[in-house]
Amino acid sequence: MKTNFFQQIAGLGFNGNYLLNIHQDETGVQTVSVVLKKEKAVTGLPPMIFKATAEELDERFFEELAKPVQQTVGLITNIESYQKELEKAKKNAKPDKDKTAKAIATEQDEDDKEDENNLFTPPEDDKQAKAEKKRLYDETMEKVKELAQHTKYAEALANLPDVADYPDKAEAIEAKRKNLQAGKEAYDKLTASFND
Amino acid sequence: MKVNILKRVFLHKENGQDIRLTDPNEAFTIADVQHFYAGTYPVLTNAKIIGPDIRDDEMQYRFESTMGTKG
Repeated sequence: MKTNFFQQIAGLGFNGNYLLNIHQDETGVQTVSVVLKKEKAVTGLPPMIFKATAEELDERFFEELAKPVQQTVGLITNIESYQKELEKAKKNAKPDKDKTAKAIATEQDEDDKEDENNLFTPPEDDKQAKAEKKRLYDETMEKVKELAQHTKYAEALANLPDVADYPDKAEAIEAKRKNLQAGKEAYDKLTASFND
Repeated sequence: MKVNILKRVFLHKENGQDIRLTDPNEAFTIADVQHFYAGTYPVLTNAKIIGPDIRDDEMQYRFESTMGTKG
């Protein structure tokens, strides 16, 4: 009897250990787990599970397996080249004088993250300016909130930060503006009815 | 009324990294599952099964290795 099982494995293009575990139960269903292992490049890859009858597995097993294996291979190549680059970078690295300044900047940047829309980290120089801007924005918003609490809606509206200055905060500002406007109208109505 | 059977999930820690093992076969008993995965993760052979904890709409079983340091 001739099978091409091992040739199929060779065709997957992954070099390393294949851990196959095949379980056959009394109903004729086979449960197969596949784990790919390669030294320490990737650890913690969960097993892939295939559960089907022997015929189905014969037909579809390699079809289904091919894609995740290719992705894993891609990942491993990525990690390996990344590690190489990392070591290169380590060798070339010079002691950083303004390490503390950088640390502070990154700390502030972390605070920014929740309302940061772009995925790209801005250049280092930007960070300080950005943090400053964010602080200003927060202060203004705080002031607006306080004014609104004291029913000084007109003042609060005047103090609202300019959308043009904070394009990424446009939505929040607009929402606040609507909120204040509504509050102002309600308050105006109330005072008007009092005066009547 | 809707009745859902909770999925079983098996958590295993290797080198400090959590590995989520999916349920290989609903017909397996917990011991079967442990035995099944022991082929891949030999540490599981002597592991204790802790759980199930019902969390996030799953039954989570934890394999806790009893392997300690010698000496």
